[in-house]
Amino acid sequence: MNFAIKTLRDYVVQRYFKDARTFYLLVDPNLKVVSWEGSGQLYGLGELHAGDDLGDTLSFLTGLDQEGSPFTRLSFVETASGASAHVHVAYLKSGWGLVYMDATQDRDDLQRHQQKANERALTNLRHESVLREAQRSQQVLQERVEQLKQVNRSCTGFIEQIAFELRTPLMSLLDSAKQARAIGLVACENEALHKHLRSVDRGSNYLITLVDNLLDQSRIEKGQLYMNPCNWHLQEILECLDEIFVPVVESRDLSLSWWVDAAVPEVLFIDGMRLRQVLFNLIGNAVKYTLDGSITVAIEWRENRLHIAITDTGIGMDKATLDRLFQPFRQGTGPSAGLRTGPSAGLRTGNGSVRLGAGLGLYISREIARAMGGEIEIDSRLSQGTKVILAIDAPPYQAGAEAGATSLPDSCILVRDDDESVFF
Amino acid sequence: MQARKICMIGDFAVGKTSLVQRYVRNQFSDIYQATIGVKIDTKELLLPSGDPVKLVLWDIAGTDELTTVGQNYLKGAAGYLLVVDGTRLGTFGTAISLQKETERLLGRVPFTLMLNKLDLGPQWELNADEVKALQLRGWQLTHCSARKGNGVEQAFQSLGERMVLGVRP
Repeated sequence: MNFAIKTLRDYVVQRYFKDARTFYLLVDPNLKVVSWEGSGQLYGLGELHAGDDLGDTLSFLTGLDQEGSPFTRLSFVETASGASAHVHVAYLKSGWGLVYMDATQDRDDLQRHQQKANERALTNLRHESVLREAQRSQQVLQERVEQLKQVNRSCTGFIEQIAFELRTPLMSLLDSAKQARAIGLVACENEALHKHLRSVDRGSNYLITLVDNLLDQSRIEKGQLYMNPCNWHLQEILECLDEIFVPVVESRDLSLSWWVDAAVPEVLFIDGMRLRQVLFNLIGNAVKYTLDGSITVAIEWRENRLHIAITDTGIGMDKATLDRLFQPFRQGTGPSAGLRTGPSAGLRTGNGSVRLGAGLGLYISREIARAMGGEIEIDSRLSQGTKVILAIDAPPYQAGAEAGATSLPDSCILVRDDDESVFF
Repeated sequence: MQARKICMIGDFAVGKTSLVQRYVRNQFSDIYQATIGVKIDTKELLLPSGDPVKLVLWDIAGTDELTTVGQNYLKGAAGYLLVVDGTRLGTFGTAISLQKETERLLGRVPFTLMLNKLDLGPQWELNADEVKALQLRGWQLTHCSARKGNGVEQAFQSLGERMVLGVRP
């Protein structure tokens, strides 16, 4: 015999028969042992005797007695001993012939691989399921966000409408109070009347500021906070603010000082009204929360940007307060809490405590600063004062852009109303 | 005593082995062990008439299609249990596909669709309408939990009776 063929034959015999621990078994139709060859120990068929009843052990033969297909090969059958075998079954008229070949090692190897593959597949399925669930949740959340946005838009619209409705009679009231005071100064020396008129004046101013803040907040919500830059004399803005705050400062043990760097141009191309609004808020805060000491406003101009630092020696704020400082409608509880919401947010009552308003001042100020290409930064420590830095784009004078010229249309609007109170 | 062969068929990890373990030994293990080849168990069933029947249960390795090897396992089966994992929609489609192949091989023999893992209700992925559609086609369905034991005994008992008494598949 050819050596190679012999080697191959020996390998096959060794691999598939000797190593396979092949066991041959012949049973009669009642599954009683007729004869066997080899050891059946591995398959739970040791200690056999002719005539032994294997009905329970060979129950898997149920249904295989089909004459049309007498031979069946069953792979990886787990036997009574736990070993695995490839079982060849022959259905004979005289009974059954079975050949067992050990497959335990192969079964164990395959089991390890299959186990890993199945577990990996299950893990992937779980991940997919989690991902689908997350996507569903995200979609639900998105829908809720849209619903809330819609509600918010409705609320903003409502507030805006109310604010518009309030503003006109309030302005009328303020003007009437001023006129009445002017007349009263001449016609009447009753101090009580002047006191009442001043009170009406203050209250009206406060309400108008609140209404204006609500309108600004509405514009911010709608993305309609537009700036109207034109040429402004910075000095005019500062003088206006000084006039407002000096009486307040002088009534307390406070000093308000201004420092303007020589490099600051006299005329800047900015929205002066809005700058004044922001500075009013920031300086107002400093005044409100500084019981004694000083407030300094330092102004510099670098690379077409205005840098305004407002430093006070007031009560300062802790980090938690700083973190929520710019949130709209956040109201503090007065100086003791160290929370600032803007000077327009509150009125000082007779007993010295602060009555808080809508809590929009700083929020609106920051939004305005951003609309001016800038930002507001605040550095503060509790009991150690506060430094607020406002930085905005402020190019110097631009020819052909005089103050007010760019913001006003060429034509006028004629307003008519039966109610004379709307004219102011 | 007469004997009948029942095959457990379904995708991997749907709970075929666990259902057999619950039915034969009233045991359950949370540890998943992939089955290779086939495990054979028996259990005696009492018919309403009081006659006993030996059920030979072939717990076949999970698969999504019947290979030649798998087809050999089905030979001589008098009925089969199609097992679905209710928390994995894909296993429902696999069961429907396997039923077609099995019917081609065995003819119209009784079978039951077991919707397993009822205890994991919140994670259930099966579409109730699709399940109902199968019922309307005459499929025998049972919701069950190998972990809790719900519906397991009844499913084997019902299939055993249908196999022996020869009622419609």
